[in-house]
Amino acid sequence: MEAMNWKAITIAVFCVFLTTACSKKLMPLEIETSGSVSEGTEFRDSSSSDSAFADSGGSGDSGFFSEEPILEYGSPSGGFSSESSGNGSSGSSGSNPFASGGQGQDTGSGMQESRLQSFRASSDLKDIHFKFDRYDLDSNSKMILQKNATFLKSNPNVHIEVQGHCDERGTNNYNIALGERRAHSTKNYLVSQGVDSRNVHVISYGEEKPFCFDSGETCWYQNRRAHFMVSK
Amino acid sequence: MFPKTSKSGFYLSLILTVLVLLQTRAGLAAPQIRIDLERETRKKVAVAITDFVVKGPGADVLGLGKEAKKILKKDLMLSEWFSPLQEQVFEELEKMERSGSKVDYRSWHQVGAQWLIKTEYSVLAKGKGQVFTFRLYDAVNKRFLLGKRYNASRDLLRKIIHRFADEVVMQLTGKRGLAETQVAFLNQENAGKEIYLVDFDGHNLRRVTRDHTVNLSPAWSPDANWIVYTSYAAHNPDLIMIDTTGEKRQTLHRLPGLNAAPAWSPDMQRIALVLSRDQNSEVYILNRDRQLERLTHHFNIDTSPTWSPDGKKIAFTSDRSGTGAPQIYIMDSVKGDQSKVTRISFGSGYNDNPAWSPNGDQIAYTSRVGKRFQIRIYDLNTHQSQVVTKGSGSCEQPSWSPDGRFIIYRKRENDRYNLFIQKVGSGRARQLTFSGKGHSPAWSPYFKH
Repeated sequence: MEAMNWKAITIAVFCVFLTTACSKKLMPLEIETSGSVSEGTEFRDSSSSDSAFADSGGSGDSGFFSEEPILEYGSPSGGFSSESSGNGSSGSSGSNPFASGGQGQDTGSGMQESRLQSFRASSDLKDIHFKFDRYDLDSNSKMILQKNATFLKSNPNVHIEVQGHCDERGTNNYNIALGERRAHSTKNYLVSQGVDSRNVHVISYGEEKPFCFDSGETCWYQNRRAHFMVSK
Repeated sequence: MFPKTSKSGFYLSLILTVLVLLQTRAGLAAPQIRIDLERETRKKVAVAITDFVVKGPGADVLGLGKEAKKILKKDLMLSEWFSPLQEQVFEELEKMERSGSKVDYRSWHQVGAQWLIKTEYSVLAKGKGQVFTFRLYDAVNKRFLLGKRYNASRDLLRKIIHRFADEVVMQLTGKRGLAETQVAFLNQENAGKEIYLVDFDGHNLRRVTRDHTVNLSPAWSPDANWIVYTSYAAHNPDLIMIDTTGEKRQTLHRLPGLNAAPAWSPDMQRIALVLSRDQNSEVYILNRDRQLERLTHHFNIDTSPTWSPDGKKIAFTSDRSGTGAPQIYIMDSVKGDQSKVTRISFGSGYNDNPAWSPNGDQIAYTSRVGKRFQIRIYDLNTHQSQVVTKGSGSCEQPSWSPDGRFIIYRKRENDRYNLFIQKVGSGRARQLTFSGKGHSPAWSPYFKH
């Protein structure tokens, strides 16, 4: 009995293939239906009025769609609708590929503290400047840093943030690394002058926070700097 | 597990299997127009797209049919595989066939159409959306190629049209089109840079982040569901992962200092990134267990990792051959720079942003040419590189389309920053964004269906 059923099914499938072969359809009769919720949210317009652009499409409808293959005119259509209404979800869009471990770790001393601290600009500490694509300190910079070090040693409770900045001319990735080097060489010099390294936090902004917005060496020079902020 | 079958049943299924195989083979071989994707310079296929025939009561009062046709036409044009025919050419023919279901292949071919797309739509009851029907014909070989019907809400109109356009490209090339792909990029705003998404055709712009701070270097996960980037939101350049709606956000890595320039491995198991915990930026691998492996060991700057499509190599930027003069190198993705490191950029004193092509045989990168930056493409087979952009602007930050036929880059011109898409080998570019403040484009992989 079972074998009979199986035969019948096989023959039926066989017939379906024959008809599709005749209709010269190229693609297999795959049914592609997408989950209404997952697909919909994925394309929901998430911009609002504070967008910098004018053209932000999407009308905030519920958002759904389904898809089914159809045949040529004259062929019986609708044969797939029962299957395609299955709402087969396209799946994994929500699964988190780096889920393990929860929030990123916080290793490194002083990190937590410096994150929580807020810094302010200070007239007690002067900026230093760098040559193009360089992070070494010239004699003028060292002189300024010695004065900064003297201030910090006489105010041991003051924590500082050394910001490394670059001019606009390089690439963003290289500049962010270069700014980091500038901040580090500044910190290293301060430490060599007797400043407690735990009081000095470094951060690079690359070319992201220019002091001056023009193009030209006068401005670029001002942007290639190590800038100091002190704890509030 | 399987139902017991009689011998004859077994033979029947065997025959069936053979038939299926035969059909698949025939299906692949049959369209003579199906072509090789490899840098072929062939004439575009002339395609006629008819007006949407409104089924059921009422005319196209909402103008949806008109809009849908416009989107489809643009998608096929932008694919650079098709050239849509002017409507005047087939006006009469379209009118004649409007009510019937016949396709007069010969006449369509005579007016210059190689392929033909016939379309219908109907508006369902309130809340049930619209139904769009597409039928694709090959007028030259006189046959029906593909039919699709979509039921969609109004706001997903663009999505389904893009989807069908990609099916049409697939019929021609065997590979999905780009209409459904998107570009993630940064837009400079008052408080910093925010991540936005925009469709391949420049529409459907939407904001992903609201960090109100400096964000850098967005990069896609290979499954196109996530974007990983660097954010200063917590007062340190941390590595953040966010979904495309901007609703799910997670800090992946936040060592003091840089957690920057991320690149997801093709198998999605690892992220290459740049850390400065050694007081100098080095390329590391972060795996799914949050373990770090150091890849570069040099006292000069190493940054901007990009994976080869097979995941075996990583190209990166380093100024190890001269401080302040970054060059592009290739290293093993496991052994790092402890085994052979090959420099591939020559003839320019400043290079960065390597981007490995999806086909694996090219690397696009930013290269200083004279006083400006231009995009250069290095060929791994010939070991030659070529500057592919020119003009008065400065071009940086290339990213490949998932089919490897286009690159997108940021162009600076008169202090305005916009994104441009260029077909590789053509020299022609179209502007994708117009805010004047667009940066760091990242072209999405194909979205899984």
